[in-house]
Amino acid sequence: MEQITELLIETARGDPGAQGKLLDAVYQELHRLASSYMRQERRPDHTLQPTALVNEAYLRLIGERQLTWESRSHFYVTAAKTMRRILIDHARGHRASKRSGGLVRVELNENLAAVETQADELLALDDALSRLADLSPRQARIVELRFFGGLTVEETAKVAGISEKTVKRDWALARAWFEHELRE
Amino acid sequence: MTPERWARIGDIFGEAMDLSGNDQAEYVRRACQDDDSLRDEILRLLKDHQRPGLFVDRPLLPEGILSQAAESRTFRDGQLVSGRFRITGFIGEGGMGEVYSAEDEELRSPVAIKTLRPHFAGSAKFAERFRHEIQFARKVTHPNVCRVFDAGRHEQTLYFTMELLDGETLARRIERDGRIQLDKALPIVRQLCEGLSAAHRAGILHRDFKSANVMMEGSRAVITDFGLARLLEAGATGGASTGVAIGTPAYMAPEQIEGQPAGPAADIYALGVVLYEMVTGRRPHIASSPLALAAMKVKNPPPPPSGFAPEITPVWESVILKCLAAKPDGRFIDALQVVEAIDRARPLHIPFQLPPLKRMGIAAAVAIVAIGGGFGVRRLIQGGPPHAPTAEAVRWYLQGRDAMGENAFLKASNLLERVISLDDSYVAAHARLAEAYAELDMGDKAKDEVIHAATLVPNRSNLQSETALLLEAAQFTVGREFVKAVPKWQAIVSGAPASEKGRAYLDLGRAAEKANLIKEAADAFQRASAASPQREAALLHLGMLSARKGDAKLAATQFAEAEQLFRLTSNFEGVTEVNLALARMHESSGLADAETNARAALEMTGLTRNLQQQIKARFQLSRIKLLQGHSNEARTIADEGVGLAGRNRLDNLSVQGLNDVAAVLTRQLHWIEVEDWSRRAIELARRSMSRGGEARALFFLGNARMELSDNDGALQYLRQAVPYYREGGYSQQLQNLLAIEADVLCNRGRYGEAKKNAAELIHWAESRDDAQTLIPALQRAAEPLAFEGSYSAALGLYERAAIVARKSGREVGTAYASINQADMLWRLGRYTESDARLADAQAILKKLGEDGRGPAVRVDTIQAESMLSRLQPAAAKAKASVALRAAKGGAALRVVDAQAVLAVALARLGEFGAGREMCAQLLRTAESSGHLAGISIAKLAAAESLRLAGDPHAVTAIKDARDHCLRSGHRELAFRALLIQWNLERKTGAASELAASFERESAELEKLWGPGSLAIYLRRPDIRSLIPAGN
Repeated sequence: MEQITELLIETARGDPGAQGKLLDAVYQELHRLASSYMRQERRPDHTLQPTALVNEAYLRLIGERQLTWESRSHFYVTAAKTMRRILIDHARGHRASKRSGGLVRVELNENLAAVETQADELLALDDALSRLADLSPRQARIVELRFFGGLTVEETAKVAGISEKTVKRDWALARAWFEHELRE
Repeated sequence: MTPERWARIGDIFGEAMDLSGNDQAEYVRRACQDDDSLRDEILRLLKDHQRPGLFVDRPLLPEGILSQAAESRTFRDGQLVSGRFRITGFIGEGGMGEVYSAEDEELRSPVAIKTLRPHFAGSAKFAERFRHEIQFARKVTHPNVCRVFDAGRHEQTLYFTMELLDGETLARRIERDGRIQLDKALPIVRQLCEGLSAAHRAGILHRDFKSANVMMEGSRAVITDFGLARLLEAGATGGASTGVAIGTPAYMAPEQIEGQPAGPAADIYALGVVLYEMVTGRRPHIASSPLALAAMKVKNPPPPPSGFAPEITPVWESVILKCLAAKPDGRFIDALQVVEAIDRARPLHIPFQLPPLKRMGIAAAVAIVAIGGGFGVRRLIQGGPPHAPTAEAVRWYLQGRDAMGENAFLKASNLLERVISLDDSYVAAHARLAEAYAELDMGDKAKDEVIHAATLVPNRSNLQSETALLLEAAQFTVGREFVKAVPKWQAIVSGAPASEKGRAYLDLGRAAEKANLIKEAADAFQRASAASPQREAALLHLGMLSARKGDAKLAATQFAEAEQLFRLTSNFEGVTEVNLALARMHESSGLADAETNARAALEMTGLTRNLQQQIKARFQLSRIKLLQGHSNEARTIADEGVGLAGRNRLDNLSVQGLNDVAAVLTRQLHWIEVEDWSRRAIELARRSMSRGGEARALFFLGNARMELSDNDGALQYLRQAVPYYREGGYSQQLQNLLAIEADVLCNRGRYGEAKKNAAELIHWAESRDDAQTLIPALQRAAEPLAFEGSYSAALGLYERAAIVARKSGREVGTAYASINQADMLWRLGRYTESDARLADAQAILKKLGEDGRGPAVRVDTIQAESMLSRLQPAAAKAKASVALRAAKGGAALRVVDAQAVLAVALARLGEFGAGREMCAQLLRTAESSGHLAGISIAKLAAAESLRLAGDPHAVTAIKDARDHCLRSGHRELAFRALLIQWNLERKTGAASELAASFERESAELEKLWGPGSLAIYLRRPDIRSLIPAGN
């Protein structure tokens, strides 16, 4: 835990190596939380909610220490990237299990039912997003934040440090481009 | 596709996307100039842009959820927090964290849960601080302050539970309804002032008081988040460098914004802002930044509120502006003064009858003016403006009052003296100061205070009823009429508003305790203990009451709870006080425990630097050392106390301490030591003008001198102390003094005066229906009669003492009364009855064990005397030897009694050498005792043993003895001397004259004892053996 906090702060300072490590740490933490939720007594109000998941991850990650807005931004970025990885891993796992009849690797259960039905599109999007990152890292980040992180235009602008107008334009362009790419 | 080309696409797309239809196509065409593929690409993208419901429009996470997750709710509905609180709803969030409603499943009651933002939660150290602050905030229990219950932790979230309030904030009410009419504002202002003042008195500042921190629950105004600003500050400074501004700039006092330490005056400033906001609907200063605001607050006085709301009266305006003074000392000192100042302008006309005052010669019905420091609501009658104490005076006054509740009387007196120096017309302060002085044995000063308070009132206007009652109570207290003071305190209790009831009950309890109304005192303390902040003090008193009743177990429980509460509120002076009380209780049960407590108290005073308690603790420890038999160590420790007190002008405490040591030594019968310590006390008492302390020391000294056989010296000291106790109405002390004086008078043979003292003692005991004092009073009345030879009369009194003792279940008293009856009975020749009484006594003493040892010596002596009277010298000798061994070192008269029996028994047994030796010892003992009856007894016994030995000096000796007995009024002893002389001279010329004396004196005895009694007396073998044959 201490390590994640340290990483967050280092990432905020701009340490290039820290971000990758942070991503791994956050990923592990989210998974640990997810599985611990699974083990708990099943009650109607105890189903895994992404909100609860991320909320708790957040508290665990930065609750120990006062963090600046900067490091909080990095948390959003990191969390969005992490969600992307979790979701894509899940989609891959689902596709693999459909093909091989094996077990779902990541037990995120019914909450990710949507992921399963759209697994192919999701994987295509992930590919397209990687290509977009080559053309415009900024636009790719905005998509990541908006699509995987669920950030609003306003929040995205704040986290990315750009104007809302730019977010809107970038998002509109990326959106149109994806439509074309996914149709191909 | 290159990033550069993509960037170009982006630029044109971005501009075109907000255009519509033809404009859009036209713009793209122009922007792309002749690059057709670029143009087609962009147009295709724009076409897709128009399409709704694309895949990416349905993000897998709902929009905003991540930030919500990061920012928001700690708890979900229905969640069970810490296994106890079931979340029932989310109320809202503020600067500190979120607020939830929850059900306390343990207590089945609704509570509010307030979380701390995670970035405040910080380290384990902070969590500890958090718990501490919450415990501190719990100190305040006032209807206008939101109750805080417990601190807790749910995983990483620190939270606390508090009273669940149903309503809206004052800020929201003002925002919605605009400014509040003055008559509707006043009840709110009153509640805010009372809440703030109560918290300040408990030592808690708000530091973030604002209309958003006031909940309006119907007409009830409740201040929330008391004392929590400190916590946020701790959280902020404990974290990273980002400074978190504590407080809300618009409400912060200039000194607070500037980062200077903020006192209660800062809360008063904030109160002023809230008042301003309430009556005008806007805040006094509006600026763009906190710094600009601070500068504005210091430089520019706030615009007069009447400029925004014309109905605002000059009084309201001046009160609000006084709250908003730039400098802290320009503001009100106590929040209560704010509402009092407004109230003063709108007097209530309540007729109020002054009860006549006639205590201690103070002129009756002295008129008294109204004074402050009361219960918020000022009751006035028509007349001139009442005296209003200054703000500072009120502040010290309230602290002094609280100190008295905690038994810290010297501290209280210091505080109240300060009040008087600030404001001499403060009647309530004079009254309380009088009470404090009375507790400190400074009766004269106490008296001066009440007289002064009663006379300083310039005219017969009127007086706030609480103050009138306070003054009357003080007059009774100073006059030592404690029982009469109790109803006054009861009246104060019933007149007190709910928020002050607890404190008033504490006062009542102390008054009842002093009046010896133990049940009433316990009841009042119980009521006072129902709620903090006086719960600790009440428990301390309850513990002391239980200890006094001998219920050490209950006392220990009460002390333990008091200590725990004092610790929770960091009141280490309270903790010290509990330890001192425990040490005192353990003095009689376990000295090791007592020492532990005293040392704990002493150690604690090193922390609190409370000199008064430190001195008290030293004397307490000194007493314990003394009881442990370490008198040198005791002296060293006490000397340190005296030195410490002397250096700090607290000689008064030394006098108390030295007197307490003397009291212990008195119980231990170490008379020489008592004399030593009480003389030191007298010297210091005279120097510090403590007449009460001096009187108490004179009492101990007089008692010691008596025990050291200096009856004349004893009488001199005791009589010096009498006027103080008599004039001051110290009836209990006076009775003790009169009792000792009666003993001294008896020793000196001044039976008439002794009987007068005894009569007063009996009268006093009877008037109080107090068996404990009536029994010794009856015995003291009987003693001079017994010495005079009025055995029947004495017997009657002893019989009465026995009845009273038996009825009240006092076994030692019953035993003593039986023994004394036996003593009278054998002398009258009623041996069978005498033996029966002794048997009764022995049966009781057997049960008593160790406690029965003192009376047992008396039984042996009386048995020996009775046997000798029955001419059984061998048995008498054996008993007397036992009695003599036990009596050595005790009262001289008991030694004389035993030696007298031995001397005569030895002579009767023919052991003349030993008998002569015993006679010499006996006469020395008697002479040095200065006990007149002892001398008579000794002379008589010596003469008798000379007669038995056939010594020719017997005649001279018996003449001397008879002469002494007659002069001393020992009529039966004189009669026996007559018989011995008659026996010796039966064959001489003096015989007929002696026979005539016998006729005359025996007739007198018959008259003295009642008809028929003489015949029985004359049948005593020893008497019969002396009467010459034929008579």
